[in-house]
Parts: sequence; C-alpha cells; structure tokens
Amino acid sequence: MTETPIEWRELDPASVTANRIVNCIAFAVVLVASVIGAVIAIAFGIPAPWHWLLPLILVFANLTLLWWAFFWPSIEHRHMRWSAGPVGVEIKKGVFWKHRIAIPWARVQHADVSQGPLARQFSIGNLTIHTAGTKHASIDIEGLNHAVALELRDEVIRQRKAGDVV
Amino acid sequence: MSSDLPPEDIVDAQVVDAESDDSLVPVDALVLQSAPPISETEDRYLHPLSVIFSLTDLIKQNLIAAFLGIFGAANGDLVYVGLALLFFVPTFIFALIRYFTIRYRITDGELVVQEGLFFRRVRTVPVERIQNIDMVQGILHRMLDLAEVRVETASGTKPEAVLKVLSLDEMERLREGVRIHKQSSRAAGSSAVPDGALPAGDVSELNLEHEELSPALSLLKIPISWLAKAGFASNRGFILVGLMMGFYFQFAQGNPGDIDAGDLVDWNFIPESSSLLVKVGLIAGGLLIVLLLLRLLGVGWYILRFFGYELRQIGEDFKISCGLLTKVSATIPRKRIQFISVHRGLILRWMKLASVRIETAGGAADNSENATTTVSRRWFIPVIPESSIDKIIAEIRPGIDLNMDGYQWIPLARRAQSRFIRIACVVSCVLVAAAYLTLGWKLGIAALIAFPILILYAIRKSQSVKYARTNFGVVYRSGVLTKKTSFSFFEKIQAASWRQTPFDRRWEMATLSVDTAAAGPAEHVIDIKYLDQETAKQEYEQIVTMAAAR
Repeated sequence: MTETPIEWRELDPASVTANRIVNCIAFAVVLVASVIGAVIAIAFGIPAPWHWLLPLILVFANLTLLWWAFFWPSIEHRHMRWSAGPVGVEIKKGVFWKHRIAIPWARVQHADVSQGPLARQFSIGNLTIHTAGTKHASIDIEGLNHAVALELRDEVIRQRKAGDVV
Repeated sequence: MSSDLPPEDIVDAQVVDAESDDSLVPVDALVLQSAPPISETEDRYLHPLSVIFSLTDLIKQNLIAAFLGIFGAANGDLVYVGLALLFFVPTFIFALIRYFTIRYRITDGELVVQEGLFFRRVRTVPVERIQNIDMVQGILHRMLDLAEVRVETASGTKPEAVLKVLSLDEMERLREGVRIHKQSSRAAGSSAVPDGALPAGDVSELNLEHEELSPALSLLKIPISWLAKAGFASNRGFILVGLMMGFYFQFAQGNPGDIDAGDLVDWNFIPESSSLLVKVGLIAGGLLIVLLLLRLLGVGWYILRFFGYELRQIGEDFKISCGLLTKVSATIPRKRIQFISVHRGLILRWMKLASVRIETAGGAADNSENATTTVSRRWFIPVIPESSIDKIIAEIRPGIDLNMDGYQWIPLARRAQSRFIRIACVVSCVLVAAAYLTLGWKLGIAALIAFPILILYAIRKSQSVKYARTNFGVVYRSGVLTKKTSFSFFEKIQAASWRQTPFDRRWEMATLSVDTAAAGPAEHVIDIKYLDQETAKQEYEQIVTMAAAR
C-alpha cells in the first residue's frame, strides 16, 4: 500500500472472555431446553429408535455447542486484525470466509463508540464507522479496548476531510 | 445509507459554512434571475389545490378501503360504507391538516421545511447537500400548471422533502433559490476549494462566471423512432404483463391457487382434426403474435414515458425532461454523479443502440418504479446510438480517458473458466435429474440440451468479465447477452473490500468489490468474483490508496 508497513493490531483480549460469557449464556439456554425436551419426550414415550437416538443427538449437539462457546471466540480473535494506517482504517477478519475492507480517512462520515452492559465490565467497546456507501454504509470493529475505541474514533473524526464526498 | 440517518449529522457539518456564507449572497445574482427567487425569510406554502391531489393519493393508497366503500354503496350495505368512511375521514383530516401546515423557506443557505400542527416537525436541509430537485406532472397537474416537487439529498431512500403540489412559477423560484445559494456557497469555498485559496473579494466575480455558463445547452434529444426501437428491444412488455397479472390475481380473484395458467388461453381454437404440423404451426404462430404484442406494449411504455426526451446542461447541472402524459423533469448536479453504466442488450446491440444509466447519491435502494427515479437514474438516457456514447460520457464527465483499448484490462483468474464450467455441469446434472424424476425419461433426455447451452454460457461469461484500473477510477465490464460497461471514480469510492470463501481459497481466487454511495440502481454493482487472489489483493490496495488520495 505504502512504503511504511501497516501496523496490524489485535482486539482487546478481554473481548474473548466477554464473547465466551455471551456464548455460554446462549449455551446454557440451549442446554436447559434440550434437557427439558429430552425428559418430556422420554416421559411421554417416543417410538423405538428415538428413545436412545434423541438423547444421543442432543448430547452431541450440546457438546459441539460447548466447544463453539468456548473456543470459537479465541479462534475468531486470532483471525481479526485492524489497522489505522496512513490511508485509512482497514480490517481483516474471518476464519473460513475471509474478508478485508478498507475505508479511506476522507470517506468517513461519522463514527461512534457503543458499549453494552457486559462490555462495560470488561471495559471494551464497539466502534462503528459510517460512510456514504451502500453495502458498507457502516462497519463495526467489535471488541476494542474502550479507551482505544475512543482514541480511534477521535482519530477518525480528526482525519476525515470536512465537506462533501458524495 | 440507511434512511434513518439523522439529518442533524449533515446539518452539523454544514453549520460552519452557513454561518460564514450568509453575508455573501450576491445581490447581483438575485437581480439577474428571470423569476424572483424565494426571499430570505418569507414562508412559502403549497398550492391550495394540493388538497385535491392529496385526496386522490389517499384513495390510490387505500384502494381496498375505497373498493369496499364503492362495493357497499352499490349493494346498499351501509356497514361497508361506514367502515370505509371510518378509515377515510380521519386520514383525510390528518392529510388536510398536514397540507395546510407545510411551509418552507430558504434561510442561511438552508432549505427549511416545516410541517405539523401539534407535533411540529422542522426539517433543515443544507442547500449544498441537495442532490436533485425533481418534478413530476400528471395530466391533471399539467392542465393546472402544477407539479409535484421532490427535494433529494444523499441520505436515505426517500426524497428529503416532497412538496405536493406547487405551481410551476413557485417551483422555478425554489430551483433558482437553491441554485443561487449553491453558487454563493460554492464561491465562498465551503468545501471544494482549500482554505484561504479564495479571498472573499472574488466572490462576485466567480458568480458572474457561473452566470455566463448558465444558458441551457441541449446535449441530446431522442426522436420517437429510437424510442420505438428501444421499446421493442426491451422486456418492458413482460414486466408490465407480470404486474397486471399480479394485480388481477390479487384483487379480482383473491385466490391464485385456483387458477391454472393454462386456463387463461383457450386451446380450442385449434381444430381437432388438423395434423400435427398444422397444430405446431398454429401454436408457434400464436406465440409469435403474443410475443409481438408484448414487444408493442414495451414500445408503448417507452413512448409514454420518454416522449420528447431532452437532456440539457445548465452550468454544472443536467436537466432531463420527458413524458407524454406524466411529465417528468429532473435536475442532476454533475458532481453528484457517482457511477456511469452503459448497457447494451442483445437486440439493442443488433440495432447499434445502447442505454446509459447513472447513480446519484439520492434515492438509494429505492426499487419502486416512481417516475422521477425511473427517469433520472435507471434510464438516464433510455436509448442512444452506440456511436454517440463516448461523446455523451465525455459531456457527463469531462476529462476521462475513453480509449478503452488503451486500458490495462485484467481478466478473471486463469482457472475461472474451469470453475464456471464445473458449476454449469453441476447445474445441468441437477436439471436433468429433476426433469427425469418429475417429467419422465423423454424430458430427461430433452434436458440434456442444458449441458452445451450452460457450458457455452459459462465460457462466454468467464470471458466477458474484465476489470481495469485507470487514472480516474475503476472500469468494469461484464455480461453475455446484455453487455454492461461501468465507470466508477476514485473520489466517489467509499470503501473497497476483498473477500475469499473456502472454495475461493481452493481455486486461489478472491472477490474484489468497490462500494459507492447509492450503489444498485444501475444494476451493475462492482463486485468481481473469481479474480486471481493476488491480483485482487493488489487491486484492492491500489484502489484504496488512490481513493484516499482524492
């Protein structure tokens, strides 16, 4: 892109923990639902192969979900990088479906930082950058350190050119 | 951009400009105009006849309620009439209040539209941000010298303000007012010119220059014969019939499941005794006549919509006017043009014609066929001889290099063709299997014809896609039957992206896409699949760098 190498930065590691917690809550809901479902199904009696097949499927599904809840956030985290280079903001992410997107500084319309209740506990925040585009009318960088997010937002606002870009 | 983007953001950015400008509105420029522009503080109202138009709109929007009312009245059933009235009267009263409370004015470089009695809503649109002022006139409007006026900005899918209806004089006044404010703020160097490059004393001179440029320059007039050809080449007829069928099923029958498409045609016109050849001939002839009628319908639509088409240039704005019954007039500022796309359909190519579409930032993703968007974007130039395309593009956007042979065209990845062919084979197999399973072995064998057709299509498709990065922007060509060539410009590119699916990775390919404001209406979004992964990455980085430099 330019002579100076781009400095790729990671998200805040705390965001992995935060995502794990969110995922575990989702997992817990599914677990409770599947236990209740299995118990009801067996109590009311179901046709022959299902009385052992259904619990097996549920156990397998729940184990997969548990793996996902626990390991996926860190895998995702390893594959996500962002940079605020001389040209603009750039993100690369995706484990299987890879995606890179870049927004020149001058095309930023505005940017805002948001923070949910859980994110506040871990002092992480999401930065949303808005452009005048269509498909990428806004891009999110989720899981930045809150202070970094605020810094980056100020940088984005400072760097954008005042005036018309459309 | 989403429609719920608060207008305040735009306003914020513009407040500073407005404050520095308001003393600079040149008095000379005001005097020069034919129609006196809107004065600085005076509130303007809609034309009194607006109420009638709002009423007809209301009835159009609530066809079902209206039908119920009429149906009830016809049967003497007062319940239905009551229901319809219950529905109509309050909405009508609201509409009345609304139309009597709308007022607008231009103050400090901003168009202020105020509406509402109890909940007053004030909408402030910086004049600099106004993209288009469009006008639509139905027959009734034209008889009364009125027009529906739409003010569009870059945000969202809907016009920022719809003024229904204004007198033509009033509209001209609004347009002039906006134009003058734009010029004065442009002259004051609000955005385009770097700080301090332009001393305040030069403002009046600059304006005079603009005034001299202003006389309308006719760029293109479309004779009715071209329109007829374009209509004949278009699939409009099919779309119109589709719309009508939809309407028919929805309203007249209410239960589409009951109707078999075959019932719509009376097959008994073929005599029982006739030979197979005669039967086939009759069916083919009948189909041909239907096709011809559909084509004629397309011709009719084109003539109705684009009759008297004229593209004019006034200063830095383009102005389109056309229409036989409903007359449309749209203004498109040159610098708002984001994207230019030339479409050449199969039949149009035989006739050496083409059409030109553009994208402006307003009215993104609005797929409804309303008159102004249809004309100003999807059919910026509905039909033009191939030989004049270069000339007209040079007018739309001066200074771009149109010598396309000189571009460095980048084709798809080397193995893209194999990948396309593989997809074609899989699709053909599925088709054949489906035909065999559902319709029997005869049609299964007949479906084998899908193989050569789809494979040929795959080869042509992989060859048709080409991409070039030029000194002004990105040029993208594609299409097998309808060939499309699109131009985007670095200063209008909002973002670039590079994507790779797991399948792409196996084939060492990637997708390159370029995002512009309001992409979509030209139906040629730059999203190029099956490029070589390294090429795509390089191009992606280059595009971003060059976009950032503008």
